[in-house]
Amino acid sequence: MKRLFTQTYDIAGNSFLRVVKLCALNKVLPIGNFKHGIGMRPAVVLLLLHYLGKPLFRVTIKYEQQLHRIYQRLKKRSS
Amino acid sequence: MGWEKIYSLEKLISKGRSLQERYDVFSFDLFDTLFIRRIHDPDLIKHPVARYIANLARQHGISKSWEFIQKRRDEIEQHQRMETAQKFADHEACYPVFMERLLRELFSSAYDPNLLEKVTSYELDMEQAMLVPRSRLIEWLEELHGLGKRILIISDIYLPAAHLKRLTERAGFQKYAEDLISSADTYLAKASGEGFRLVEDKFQLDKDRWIHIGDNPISDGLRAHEAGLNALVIHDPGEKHRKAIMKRYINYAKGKPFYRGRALQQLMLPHEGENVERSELYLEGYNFLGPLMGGLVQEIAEQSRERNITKLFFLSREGYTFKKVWEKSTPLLFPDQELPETEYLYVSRMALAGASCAHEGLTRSDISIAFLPPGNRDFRDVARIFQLDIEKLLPHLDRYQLYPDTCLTPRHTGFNKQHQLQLMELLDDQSFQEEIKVQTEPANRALMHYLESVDFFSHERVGIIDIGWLGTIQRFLYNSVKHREDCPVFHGYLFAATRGVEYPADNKNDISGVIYDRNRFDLAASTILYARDVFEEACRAPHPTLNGYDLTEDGFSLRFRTERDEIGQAEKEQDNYFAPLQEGIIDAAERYGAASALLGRSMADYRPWFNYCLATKLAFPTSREVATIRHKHHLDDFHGAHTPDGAKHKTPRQLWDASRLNLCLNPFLRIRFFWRHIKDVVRN
Repeated sequence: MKRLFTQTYDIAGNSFLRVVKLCALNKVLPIGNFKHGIGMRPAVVLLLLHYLGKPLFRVTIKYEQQLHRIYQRLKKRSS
Repeated sequence: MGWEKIYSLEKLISKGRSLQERYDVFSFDLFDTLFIRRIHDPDLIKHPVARYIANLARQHGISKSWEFIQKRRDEIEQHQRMETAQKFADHEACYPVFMERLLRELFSSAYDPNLLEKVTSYELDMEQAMLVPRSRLIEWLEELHGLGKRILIISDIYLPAAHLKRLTERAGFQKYAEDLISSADTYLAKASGEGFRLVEDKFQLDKDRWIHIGDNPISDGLRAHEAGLNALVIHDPGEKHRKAIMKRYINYAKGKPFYRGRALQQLMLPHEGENVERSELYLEGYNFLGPLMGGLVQEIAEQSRERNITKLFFLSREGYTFKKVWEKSTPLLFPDQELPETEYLYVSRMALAGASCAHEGLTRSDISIAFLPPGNRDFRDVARIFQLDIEKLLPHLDRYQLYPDTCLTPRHTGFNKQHQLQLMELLDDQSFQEEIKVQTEPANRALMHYLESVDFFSHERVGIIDIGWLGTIQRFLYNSVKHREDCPVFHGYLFAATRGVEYPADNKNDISGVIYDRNRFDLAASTILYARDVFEEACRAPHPTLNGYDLTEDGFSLRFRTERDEIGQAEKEQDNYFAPLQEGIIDAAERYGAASALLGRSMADYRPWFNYCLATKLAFPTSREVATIRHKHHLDDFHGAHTPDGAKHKTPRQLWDASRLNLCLNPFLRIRFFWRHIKDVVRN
């Protein structure tokens, strides 16, 4: 017995790690048309979010306003 | 106490429980407190509504894009907020007011009050589909209600209280609340604190005995405190985490098509009280097969609209599940109801084979189909499939030196090419064909009565939906009815078309595979060939297969296969085993409809993700998945009992037949089988 939605907010039986593994295999063995696949940056962000998001959000939520201000400042500077 | 931020739901409830003696009145915020949303951005709900309005406008001959309608809605809503701000402290809007203005502007003289009701109902249905009550909070609400506390729900939103009550009533917790107050009714909101003062006056509340619980630090925390009451504000890191993931999937899906299907599935997932423990088969039904079936149904619905198909016939027995998926997913996907009628049609290859010979006799392609399964060997198999009386055919066979047991396929011992030539000559024999027609005519007549009873001939274009694989049922069905002048145009849709025998498509009869079609090179989708029987078993109706149509005095009767024999019992056992899988598929359908409507995407958008799902689950499955999903029994009356001769004709071993030990321990097993599969697909 399992839950459909896992603790890491992932699909039970079809985790994002599995997606990454098969897409990596698709680079060496033609598995099928995944229309450009997962992309390196989104894959890293999503892996981090799924697997490290829980402790990360637990810690950072208390400093949300400060972090948001820093983020806005960085965004303004980069643009 | 003032107001306090709390960083988990458990702590909020435990804090609330510890304070409940001190308070008589508990007011709750609605959105993101009592309800959570499946999506990160509530404005996304407005998109399917704009698409719906665009469709309604098109029906009235008004051509406007949904993006334009969305823009106008935002502008009209904004305008109303500006108007409100001149008289009130808050910049509130009221849905019925701005939506009516939008609809009047769009439809002008064609506007009718029913339009507003239709659009409102759809928006509320979409909202409902995207909302989940927070189960632990609702339990506490029930507990407070039991203790005789006064409970109020206060929301700052553009939906009036009457609309919100429809949502809370459907979610089942309105009964615990004394009333529900929305800022849309009075333009007095929590955001300015006026909403709290209104509630205080209206319900004669003592501020010292009143506590407010919400999620917004300003509206639910600071303003409540300024209004003189105590407040608890939930700041849930779990929710932030979940929404951050959802937001990324939806945003990445804009640029990377692969994520479109993944975002769809993320939206379909259950939350809170919905996310209970389920069997692994249910899980596979919901997370793997459910989205595929949803995609199939959405594609069929879109094609039906394009091709003016007025009735869809879901063929037994797999059509049973497809029809259920259709019924569950289409109301939110196609709210304008411009969809064909649907009917579950009792058919089978065995039942139709005979009836299909009543006008053309037994054709060469019929013989090719009959000898496709390796277990079929001789004319006895042909007679079994086409339900012919072999005794009456003996003189005809005899004329061509053929016997019921003469081997007619090269797979079996005793095959002689001469026999095949003699068989072809027999098929050209007029008297033989007359006998075939005489024998099969009653079955055909009974079939006509049956089809007339389901209005088959009252439509110009019909859709025929089946699981696959060669389209034999559609071929037999078309051959049975094509002699009639009122025969409709057949548009066949298969879950997967493997096309082992060329399909005789023409202007009045075509067929295509939706998830997989051999005519369209698609390596990942072709992995369906790894475990075709699993799809059949997973979708099969819980009734025995149809054996034939019998003529009766009052028309026809359907003759089903007995369930009492060993095979029937084995099939029942398999149905019971796969029942949770099927339940998962059907439960996923409703969520598919809502999620796909929200995303506004079609099957073509989800295809890269579906390709991945098929490849990972069928060609690269875990050993546990194979052990769980692998079927135990598969009945096929079409296949004979003969065993093909020699290693040359032996069916190659499949990955899904491998032992669990082999699947667990052999690291290259899946790659080896996939390499062989690539070669097969390229060769074919």
